[in-house]
Amino acid sequence: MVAKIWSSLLPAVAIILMVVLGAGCERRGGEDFVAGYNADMFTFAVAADPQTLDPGRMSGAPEGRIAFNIFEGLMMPGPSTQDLENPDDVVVPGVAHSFDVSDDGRVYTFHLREEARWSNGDPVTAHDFEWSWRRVLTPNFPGDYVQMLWILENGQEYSQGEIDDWSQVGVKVLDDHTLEVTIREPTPYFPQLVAFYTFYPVPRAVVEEHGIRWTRPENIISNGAYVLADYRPQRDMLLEKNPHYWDRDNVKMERARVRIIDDINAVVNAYRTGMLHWTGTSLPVAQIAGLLTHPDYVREPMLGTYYFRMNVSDPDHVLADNRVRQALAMAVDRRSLVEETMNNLYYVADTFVPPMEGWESGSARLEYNPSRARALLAEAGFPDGEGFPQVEFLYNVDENHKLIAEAVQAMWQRNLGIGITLNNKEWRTYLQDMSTLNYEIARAGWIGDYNDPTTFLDLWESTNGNNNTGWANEEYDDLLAQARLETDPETRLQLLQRAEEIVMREGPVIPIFFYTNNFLVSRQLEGFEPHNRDIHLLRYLSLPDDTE
Amino acid sequence: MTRFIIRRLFASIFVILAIITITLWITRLAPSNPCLDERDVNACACVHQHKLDRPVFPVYAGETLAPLSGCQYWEPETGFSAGPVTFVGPTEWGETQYAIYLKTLASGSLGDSMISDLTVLEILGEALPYSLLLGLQALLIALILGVPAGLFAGLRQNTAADYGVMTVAMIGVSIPNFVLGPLLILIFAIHLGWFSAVGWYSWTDSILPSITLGLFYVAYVARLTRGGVLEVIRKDYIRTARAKGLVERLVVMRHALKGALLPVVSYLGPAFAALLAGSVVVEEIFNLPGVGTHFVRSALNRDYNLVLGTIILYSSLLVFLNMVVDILYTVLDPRVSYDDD
Repeated sequence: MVAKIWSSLLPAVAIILMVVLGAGCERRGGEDFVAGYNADMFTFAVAADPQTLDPGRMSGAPEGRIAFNIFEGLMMPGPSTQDLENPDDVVVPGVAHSFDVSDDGRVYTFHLREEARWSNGDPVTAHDFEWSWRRVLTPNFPGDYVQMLWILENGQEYSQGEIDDWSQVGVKVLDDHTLEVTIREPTPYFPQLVAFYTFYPVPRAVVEEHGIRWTRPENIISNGAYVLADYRPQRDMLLEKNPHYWDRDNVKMERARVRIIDDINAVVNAYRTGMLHWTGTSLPVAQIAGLLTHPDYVREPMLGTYYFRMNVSDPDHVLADNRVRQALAMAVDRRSLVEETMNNLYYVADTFVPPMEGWESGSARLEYNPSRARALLAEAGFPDGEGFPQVEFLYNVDENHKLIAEAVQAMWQRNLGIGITLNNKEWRTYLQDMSTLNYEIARAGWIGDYNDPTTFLDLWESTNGNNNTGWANEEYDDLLAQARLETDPETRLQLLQRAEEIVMREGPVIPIFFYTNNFLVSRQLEGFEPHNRDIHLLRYLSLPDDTE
Repeated sequence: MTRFIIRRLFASIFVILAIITITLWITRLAPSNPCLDERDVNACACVHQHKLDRPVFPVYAGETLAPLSGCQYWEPETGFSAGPVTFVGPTEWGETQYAIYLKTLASGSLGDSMISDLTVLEILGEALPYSLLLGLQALLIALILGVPAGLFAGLRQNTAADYGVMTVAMIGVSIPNFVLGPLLILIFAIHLGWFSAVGWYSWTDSILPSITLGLFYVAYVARLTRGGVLEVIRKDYIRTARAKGLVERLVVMRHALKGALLPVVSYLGPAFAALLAGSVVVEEIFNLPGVGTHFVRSALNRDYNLVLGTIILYSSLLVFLNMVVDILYTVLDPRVSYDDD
């Protein structure tokens, strides 16, 4: 009896399901979709709990996204990095309304706004900056990006405990609203550096009173357009407009919610169900194909390169032979990798430094040339790949890395006749292998810290802590050192171009593609402009139907 | 009984201490460490901050944190080496990571997270209510659906109705929650828009996860109840009840159910413990701010203290719940006694 009821119900259930699913599909593609229809305020996602909200100690994307909104440096990232009249416009005045540079490019005098305030109403002064920078440069300070401040004259020496006289470090408070900064060498992108969070001021009184707990919502005092009003780990953060912010009249959104969603597929689900106005992080590649026609879909070029690095630290290893490295590089069909394997999401990289305002890569471009690759490999003693040892390719566990690794494995087999083994490792283990040079060839990615080619080229300097290949080239180091001291922008550019050419000709790197950032953002949102480091400050944005 | 409880509590401490020791050893055994980052960040400061340059135990194989050899390492001043193994002198045992952690525990703290600025107690304190509520709700669903289903099937043994209900129950056991969860999200969150797809911001957000977590146990409880009914229904006192002309409804409700539920009740303790531990997957699927999410994340991040904290929390709950069940046995079944006298 009951079984009969059940069996008669089953088709009905199936039909209901089909109708529901069918109806859903129809609605999903609809043009009337309003992002955030289930959100009570502007809401976006970050991929993880911030490890810290202390700008002097942080690194990483979720941390940065909060810091850029609740703190303010002397300069701040501008709304856009595209179509700028002047490449310097990637940063805009922050606490400093203007600055002067000495002729040798080493002394910056920042003029601070008198109306700049902390969120408790206290004025932000040059002393705040001096104290905050000194804090970061304190020997053994557990900040991730302490080395950023080594650009200050004697900053490195102070930080490493070689000198203990703070007055020798290139930071001088001329008066409450004037800060004179002397840097190690003329650095044209220094205004961009002071727009980075490691250079942001922290509230001395609060830090001294609460120690590590100073960034808790109940304690924190900040000087940005927003303040942190609430934070619940793994759930969300609430940002509220700072009532004392100097430019408060131009800050349109009163509040914003930051949801912490670590699974990128869950972010897409949240966006589809109206919980978000902005996915905040890049979409999963597998899902992008289905979202390309979504009216909220946006693709922005990123200042980042996906590349393979080769371990050349062992002089007896085949990879120590540049001909082998060049052969491997020329045998990778990057066009097919991007167009077929990666669904055309990224841009083929034929140089290591991605395109950016004010930079043009030199003439050495990597080209796909299987016959030349075979010739080089034969020259190195492995005609048609004969006798070539089994080389291992390392990547961290990820669907995309896997697809690329498999495609490249096939290309090298086809074009060069060599077989490689693929090895994937969990993230932290991969990092350890990378820094201990326990790999042969590995995938890697690099996202620039500022809009200047040196953020990429510095990587291959022999002393750079991110080099992780064992590659060292005196001429290369020399060119970078010269570029550092060069005050003429044109000459500096040429030096850097020559440096990049060396990396392309004999470096330990095979560039694959330049990253793009693929995300969903509400069409209703105003002021959202392309930014190649994915920095989007809330103070530039507004939501017209925001009921506040 | 009091003596039994005291003895059990005493034994529990040793069990948990053993778990802590082994877990601490395993965390340090895992490759990599919490201070590494994709970029060359200030790893040495992190190593110093968390005293990772100390030997883990008084006896250790003299290897250093692989990539951070540039950091200035703490070296025991007393003790001796025997081949690849180094012994720390007793005066410096207090400097080992193990001793430092035990001292932290003794002071009533679970230490600081090595990845974030929060303490482990703060993190778990925020997360535990979610996991507990999720587990309780799932258990409730299991009972509300499972007991009637089992009763229904048991009373109609070997009929189409019995097979039908038990088939549904078997399907419930067979669908893993990582399939059921996304399916529920797809239908009820994305297509119908009745629930949130992600997170736990209000109570309604806990409905889908509770169902996902509880459905497996619905089936289990149904099968247990059915078994209990079958055993009880043939007993003499049931026949007596029927013989004296009681309505079937009363026979079942008043006489059969009590006996039939015994196996279910004794299953509740382990089930709740399993629900708590099992919520790891469900919390990941629904992106819930519970303990399970931290359990996974901390292991991936090599956040040693958070790994230890969640393990201590889970194992304490398990040990405690098992003790409660053992005590409950004596209440339910007078034949069981733990006192030797």
